[in-house]
Amino acid sequence: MKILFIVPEIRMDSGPAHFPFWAAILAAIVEKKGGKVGILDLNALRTKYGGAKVPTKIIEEEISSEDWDLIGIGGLTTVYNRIKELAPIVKKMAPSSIFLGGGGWSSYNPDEILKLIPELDLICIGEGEETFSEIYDTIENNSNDFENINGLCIRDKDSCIWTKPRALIDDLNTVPYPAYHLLETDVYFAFSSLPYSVESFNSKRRASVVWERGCPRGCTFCSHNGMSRIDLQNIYGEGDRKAGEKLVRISDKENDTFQLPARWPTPEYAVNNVKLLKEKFDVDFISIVDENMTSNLKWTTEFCDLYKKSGLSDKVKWGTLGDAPSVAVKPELIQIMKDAGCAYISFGFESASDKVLNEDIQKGQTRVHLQKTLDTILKAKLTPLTTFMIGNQHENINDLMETMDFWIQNNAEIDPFICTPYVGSPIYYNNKNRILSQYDPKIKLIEEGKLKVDKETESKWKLDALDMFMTDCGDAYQYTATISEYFSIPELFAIKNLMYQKDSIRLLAWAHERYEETHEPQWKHDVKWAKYCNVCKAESLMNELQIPHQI
Amino acid sequence: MKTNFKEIKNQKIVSNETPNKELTAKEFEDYVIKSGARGSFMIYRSKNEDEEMGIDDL
Repeated sequence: MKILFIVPEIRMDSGPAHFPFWAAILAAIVEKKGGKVGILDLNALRTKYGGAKVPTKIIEEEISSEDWDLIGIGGLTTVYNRIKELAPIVKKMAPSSIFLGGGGWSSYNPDEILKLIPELDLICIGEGEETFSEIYDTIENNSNDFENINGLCIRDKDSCIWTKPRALIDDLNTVPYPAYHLLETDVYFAFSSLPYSVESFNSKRRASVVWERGCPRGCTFCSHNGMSRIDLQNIYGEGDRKAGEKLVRISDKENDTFQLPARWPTPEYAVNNVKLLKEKFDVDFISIVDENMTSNLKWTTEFCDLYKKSGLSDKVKWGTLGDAPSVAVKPELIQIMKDAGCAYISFGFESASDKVLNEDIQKGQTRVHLQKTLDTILKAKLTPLTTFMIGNQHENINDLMETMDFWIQNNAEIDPFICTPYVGSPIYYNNKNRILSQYDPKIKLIEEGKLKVDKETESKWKLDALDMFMTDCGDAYQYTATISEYFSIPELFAIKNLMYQKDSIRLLAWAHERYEETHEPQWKHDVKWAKYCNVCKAESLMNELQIPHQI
Repeated sequence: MKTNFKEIKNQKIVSNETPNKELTAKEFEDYVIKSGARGSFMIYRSKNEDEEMGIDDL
């Protein structure tokens, strides 16, 4: 058996930052089975071509150099556009290989992906280790009958077959460590430096690890590559979580398990992974790209304790991600992490408006949590890293001012993201037609009953719009579709820039102008913000001087 | 491409993008100030230097 995994280029505006874990873990499974395996990591190899996409000729040569039984391709939603370019190359150079897609880019709507990328034979939905292992065994037994393998969407002429849901892995200690010798480690080490802390900036041999799968929070803008209970509810319920939950419960029962929103291997597994990287590559820094380490107090405390006892805390510093509610409630965790070698923790603060945090984000955090977390991080003398976003569904000028006020109060300089409804997130499922309408206004006319077409035409238009949306999806610093009830994309771009400059004077003057023009309530700011508003100050002065005015 | 069954041919060496000079905490602070937060995460400033950016030895 001979297997090839292709890793598409991603985040072309910077160097390759993190190992492609999926490819190296699946490669380790192939090696355990005694198979031959290769990883064509285009994201690493692009550094040999000035950072641009790897030339097609090179990709063609590599793929055609062997007779592959199976070729797998994967990544996040943001690689959809590149995979669309790569798929015809794969099919042309390896027409008889089984072509398998998997990962976040294809797990949420595999039936649509099979229509949009006709070269693919199969999609692995969500967690891939067990599903891939069974595909491998099937092919090795000279069979192409994949219908009994759980967790797949299989091309069937012009349609597709969904197999039964794949249960999430109960014991993550069974996942093998990545086959590091098949990764372009020299390339990744050449891009070790990360400007998140002194230690990560000075790193010469930084490695990345990921242990946690999923997250205990239910943020509406987020998804987890099909690896949490919430994701499975959305996938199998096609956005209807209650309907999906019924299927997940059947899967629980059949597999004698309860599939959790978040899972971890043991702290021993994690520490042994770092020991392996230290022994094999002499790494000096570890990026732990788990979604939310601080949310699991028990696990993190045990990990830190073991990490220190293993003598790693002085030799291999590390950084990770966390969330404000967990730190605000248990601030002592931060010192425990720092004492174990933690150099930075990145937090998704998202917004400082309690209304937006409660109604739109739904992380279970408030502005008080944000302030307490920030104070705790500064007190521990760690680098505070936080991300914010604007364009949340019900966010108005007052909510934006709450966020800017938080930045002003904390003397922060922040460039916010624009909320992007990535496929798989609850806000995508809840706003699908609104999102697609921004790529094809005919869909809005159908929704409003102003245009009537047959179902087939409507489906075709929606699929084309989805293709345009997914092609557009980048890292959220640029615009795609917005789910904001109040602001257009051009308005959000202007707001983003004014907020980055903390230019409350221009933002609020603009809000006055827009309110006078439209009388739309989202532009009417509260008296609370008059202290930041020159228009209000001028009005106040006129009132004091009793000058008649028309503002 | 790396495989577990054949030697890599014509491997081009990648230039090392990691800065050669190790920055001190103060130099890193200056670097962050110059870079700004545009397109990145964020920067927090404080009037009290002791509270700033986790810098121990300003």
